[in-house]
Parts: sequence; C-alpha cells; structure tokens
Amino acid sequence: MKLKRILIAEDDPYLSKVMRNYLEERFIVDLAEDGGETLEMIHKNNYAVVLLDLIMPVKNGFQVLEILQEEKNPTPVLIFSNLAEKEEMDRAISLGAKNYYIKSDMDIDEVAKAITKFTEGQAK
Amino acid sequence: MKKRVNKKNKHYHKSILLRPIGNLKIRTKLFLGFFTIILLAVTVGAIGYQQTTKTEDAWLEISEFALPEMRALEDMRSGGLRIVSSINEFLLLGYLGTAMGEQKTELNYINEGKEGLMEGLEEFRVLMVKSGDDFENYQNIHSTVSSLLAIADEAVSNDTINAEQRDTVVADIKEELEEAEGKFLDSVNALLIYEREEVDEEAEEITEYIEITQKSLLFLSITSLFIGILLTYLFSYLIANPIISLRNITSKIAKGDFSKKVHHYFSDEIGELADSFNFMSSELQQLYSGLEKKVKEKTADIRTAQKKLQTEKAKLETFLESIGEGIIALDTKGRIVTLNKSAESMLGISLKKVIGQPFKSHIKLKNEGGNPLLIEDHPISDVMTKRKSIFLISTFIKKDKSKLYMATTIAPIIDGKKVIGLISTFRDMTKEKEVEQTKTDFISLASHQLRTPLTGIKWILQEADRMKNIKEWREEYLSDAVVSTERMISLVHDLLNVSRLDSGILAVDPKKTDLGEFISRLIKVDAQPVANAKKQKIVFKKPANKIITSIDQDLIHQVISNLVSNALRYSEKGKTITIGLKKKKGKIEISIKDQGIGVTKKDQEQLFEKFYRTKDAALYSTTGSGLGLYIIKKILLACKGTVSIESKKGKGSTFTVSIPTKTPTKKVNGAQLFSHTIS
Repeated sequence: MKLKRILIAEDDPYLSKVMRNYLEERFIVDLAEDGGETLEMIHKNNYAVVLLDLIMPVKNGFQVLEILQEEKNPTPVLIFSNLAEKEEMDRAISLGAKNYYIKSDMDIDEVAKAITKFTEGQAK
Repeated sequence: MKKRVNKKNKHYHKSILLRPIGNLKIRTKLFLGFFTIILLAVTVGAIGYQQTTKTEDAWLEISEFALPEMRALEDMRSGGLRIVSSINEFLLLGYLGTAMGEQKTELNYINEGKEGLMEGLEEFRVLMVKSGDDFENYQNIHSTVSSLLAIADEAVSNDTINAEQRDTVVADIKEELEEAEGKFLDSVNALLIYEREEVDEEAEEITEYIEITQKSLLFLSITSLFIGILLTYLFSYLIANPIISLRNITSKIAKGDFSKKVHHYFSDEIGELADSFNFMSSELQQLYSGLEKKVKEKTADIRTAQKKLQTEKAKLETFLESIGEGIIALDTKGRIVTLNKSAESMLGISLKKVIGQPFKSHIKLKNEGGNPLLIEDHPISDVMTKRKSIFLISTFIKKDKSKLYMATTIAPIIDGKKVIGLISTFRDMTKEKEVEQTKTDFISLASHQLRTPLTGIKWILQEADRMKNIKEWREEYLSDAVVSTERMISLVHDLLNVSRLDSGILAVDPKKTDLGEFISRLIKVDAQPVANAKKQKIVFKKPANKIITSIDQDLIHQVISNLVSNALRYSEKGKTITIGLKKKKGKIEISIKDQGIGVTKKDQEQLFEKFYRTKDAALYSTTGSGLGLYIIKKILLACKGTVSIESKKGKGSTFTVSIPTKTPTKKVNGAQLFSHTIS
C-alpha cells in the first residue's frame, strides 16, 4: 500500500518534531517552518492533506489559506492551532479549511487518528 | 407734632362753640336752618307792612282833618275879604250918595259875604269839634268874625244919617272895619299858617317814615341774607365736614393707615356714624394688626422653614455634587429634570443646555447585548409601572458616538401614589470594562501562549512514553520537554514581572559596568544559541574606548535581552541583527536593529502598552506575551532612561535605548524582577 504524503506546517520545532515522528509511521511527512515554505511545498508536491498552524512567521496560516483560495488550489487543509476563538475558527473555515483542531485539546494519537480518518474519507 | 396739637385744640375750641347746634340731629339742623330763614323773611315782611300802615294812617289824618280845615279857613278869609270890600264899596257909595240903587246891590254883596263867612265859620267849627281840637282858635276866629259882622250890620243900618254925621260915622266905621279886618285876617292867616305848618310837619314825618321803612327793610333784607348765608354755611359745615373727613380717613384706612381717627365733635347721625366708623376702624386695625402679627409669625416660620430647606437643599446638593456617580432625574416623559456635576462631566452635557429636553436626544442607550434601550421599553418601563428599581449594565452612546459603559440603577420617584419620574444613578464602568477587556484579552492571550508550550510538553511526554524503550528518543524528548517548560516559566516570569512593576516601585541598584563587555556577554550567553538555531546573525561592534558607567545590571540585561529576543523572533531565518553602543552627551545609547516584519506607525503608538501585540506579530509568532516592551518601558522609567522605535512595516525595526551615564540609586524593598530568557 502506497503511503499518502502529508505536510505539517508548524513553526514550533518541538511540536513539529513530535508530530512528524508519530505520523511518519503512517504517512510520508514533509515539514514547513513558516507560511512561505508551506506554500512552496504545496506548489512543489501533491499532498493528501496539509496540517496548518495559524501563527507562523513569514506568512501566517490565514494568508496561506487566502493564497490557496485565490489559486483555487484543491489541496485539503486541516487547521491545527492553539487559537481557540470562535472568530478565528470561522474565518479559517470560510477560507476553505476542512476542519479546525485545537492542539492543546488533543492527544498526539488523536492527531494521527484525525489525519488518518480524514485521508481515508478523502480517498473514498 | 406741636402743630398737630394746636390744630386739634382749635378743632376742640370750635367744637365747644358749636356743640349745642352740632349735637342736634341733622333733620333738626335742617329744620332749624330753614325755619330761621323763613322767620327772618316773615319778620321783614311784617315790619314792612307795619311801616306802610303807619304811613297810610298819617296820610289819612292829614286828608281827613288838616286839609278841610285849611279849605274852611280859606273860604272864611275869602268871605271876610268880600265883606270888607263890599262894605268899603257901600260906604264909598253912601258917602258919595250918588246912586242909591247901587247901594242896594252892595248890600246884597254884603249879605252874600256874610253868608259865606258864616258857612266857613260853621265848617271850621265842625272840623274843630271833629278833631277834638281846643276851641281857642275857634273862639278867636268867631270873635273876629262876629266883630266883622257887627261892623257890617252897623254900617248898613246907618243909612239914614246926614251928610255931616256921615262923614264922621263913615270914618269911624272905616276905622273899625280896618281894625276888624286886620284882626280877622291876622287870626285866619295865623291859623292857616299853623295848619300849613302842621301839614308840612306831618308830610315830613311821613317821608321820614317811608325813608326809615325803606332803610330798615333794606337792612333787614341784607341781614337776613347774611344770616341765611351764615346758616347755610354753618349747616353745610356741620353736615358735610365730618363726611369729608370720614371720606379722607376711609381712603387712608383703605391704604392700611389706621393711625387716624375720625374726629367728630357732635353727637348727631354723622357723629354716630363716625363712632361706628372709628369702632370699625379700630376693630379692623386690631384684626389687621392681628393678621399682620400672624402674617409676620407665619412669614418668620416660612423663613425658618425656607432656611432649613435651603440648608437641606445645599447639603443635598453638595451631597449629590460630591458623589462620583452620575445622577439624573427624568420626568415621566423622559425629559431631563436635573443632573449632577458627575453626570455633566461623564455625559459631556451641561444641565443648563439640556434641562427639559428628552434624555434620548442626548444619550442613546443600549443594553449589554448592544440592542437599543428606550425609556418606553422594558425593563425601564417596569420602573414606572411596577415601581421597582432595576439595575443594569448599559451602554451610553454620546452624540459624538463615544461609548460609556455604565452600571445603572433606575428608581422611580413616587409622589404619594403617583410615579412622577425616575432617578437614574450611573457609574462609569468604561475603565473597568477596559480593564476587564484587557484582562479578557490577557487571559485569551495567556491561555493561548500557555497552551502552546503545554501542548508541546504533553505531546513530547506522550511520545517519550511511547518511545520509552528507545533510550535516545526518550532522552531527546525529555530534554525537549525541559525547554518547553522553561519557555513556559519565562512567560510566567514576564507575567509576574508585570504584576510586580504595576504594584510597586522598582528598586534600582546601579553598579559600575563596562557596557561593551556587558553586551558581548549577553549576546554570547543568551542570544547566540537562539540565533544559531534560526541561522540568524548577530553583529555587535564594541566601541574602541571602553564605556564604563553605573547601571543596574539585572534591569538593563532584562531590557537588552528582551529587545534582542524580539529582534530574533520577528525576523526570518538568515537575517542579521545589528547591535550598536554609543556614548552621547550625558547618556548612553544602545540600538538593536533587525530586518524583521517591522511595525506600522499606528501600531508604534501602542507598542509599549501592556499586552499589546500587533496583529502581524501575533500571527507571526506564538511566543511573545505582549509584555516585553511594557516591561522595558517600566524599567527604563525607573532608571531615568528612555526607549524609542524607528520602523516601517516589512522593513525591519530599530529600537534605541537611552540610559543616563549616572543611574540614580533607588532602594526599595520588594520589587525584584525575574530575569528574561531569550527563546
């Protein structure tokens, strides 16, 4: 079975490290440390899903979403952020994010499950 | 005063004189007056009548007696004279003896004269008898007449005498005749003269009478006229004067002057009227003075009450004015009745301008949900209808659209059973709301800031647990967990520092420091490792001459490391941070220049405020509490230094810290800050 390729856009090195280590067992995982890098990677590769943090250097998550929307890029994006305000959640969803997860509410295995579930749903 | 007494005395004097008449009733007075005048007129008439009668009598007497007497005497004289002349003729004829026939004619004449004489004598006698006069005149006349008649008879009888004798006889007769004639004429003339004198006297008397009558009538008329005038005046005085004085005093009393009494001197009807009037006046005065006294008392009462009220009012006003809460009173139609100073300053309106105007035309109300709140609407109308006070948090929107958050209490003003308006007391909660907002912001920020390292720690530990059998993994994760925890501690330190800076005065403890060395060590120890991780460069050129000055090393370290930390955080990978150190007049300048995201002009204004993070910064980096620059500002304030920024969005920023060459010591117990860790 061919592993799906996913992108983790996360500026916090410690978080991205844990996420990558965990998810690498099920996916081919790429890392982006800022918004600029994220867009580059999306343009370069074809991802089953992008795990997007909102607070990031160079270009923040909202800016990334806006650009993708403008480009009509079909790459599905899931938001993983610690911003917990409804306003931000609504904004992200309206900009095309498929779902919104608050990181601190989740265990690391739940993150993996969510991604797996999403990608499987996408496949069907 | 003296004059008045005199006047009074004069009145009194007059009154005594007039009292007997004055005391009579007016009816009697009028009767007396008219009666006197009529009496006078009658008297005048009577006297006139009497005088006229007297005159008439005198005239009657004259015409009845004196005139016939005179006539009789005249007849007698003419009879006598005829006899004399006839005798003389007769004697002459006889003497001559010429014509005897003619003598006979002369005899007839003599007889005729005799008859006339006798008749006159008889008439005279009758008158004398009638008038009751004495007979002396008559006797006299009678004797002369008789002698005259005797001579006449003698002469006639001597007709036969001879010529010689005749001459003698004629001469004798003639002599006798002449004597008798003389006597006769003398007595008749004397009587005539007497009678004439009598008549003249009578006439004179009558004329005198008439004159007297005229004069007395004139005098009486004039006197009556004067008496009439006098009486008229007197009675009009007696009747009218008291009425006039009554009238004068009435008008004085009407003006409230009770000092004058009606002086009346007589006990007639007007006197009685004056008495009643004076009684009425004194009663009135009593009543009036009683009333005046009462009014005075009442006025004094009212004044006292008013004063009390004023004091109370002043107290209340002071009380209301000194209250920090705004107080506003509205009538039932929502119009402003009054408001206190606090309300004026809070709402930015002045009572003078808004009194009587609808409250809603100056202030719009919104409830907590942001919906318009009208006086007519629930729940404020409840205050009117249910007469219950309510408390609510509302937003006052002023005419300039600025908002005030007010804790508002609205209570009805109840007068008896009626609600006559409402009183609203409000406290400006805008500051509290802002503080609350800041708190909310802080909590959301802090929770977010804390959530990130906590998430890290959780996931790291979960992974470390999962990988516990792989030693390298386990160790790496555990060390990662420590770093994340430290990041969290640093954040907590920042928070604590802020609360310390806000609550107390910072202690400053300067020590001589070589600043070049100080900054080099800071870069080397704290900043370089972080920069290395992001492949960023830190450039610091130590000045040629050492800059040694007294600084509080902990505090300045905090400032510089915070700024360097920011510069690294908000710059992309591979960028350069340049640090400068310069000595200027009396101060030292340390600049930290980056090539990061920059700060807009608008954001620069609020950059040093507590919890302020620019939107760009907040979405750029999770780390960063929004407290660093605030802490820097506070520290430099305590050290008499300053901090400024020069920046353009996307073009990097330069923060310049300026500290005095001599930092004053400020020893205060307590406020010790936690050190900052660059991360």
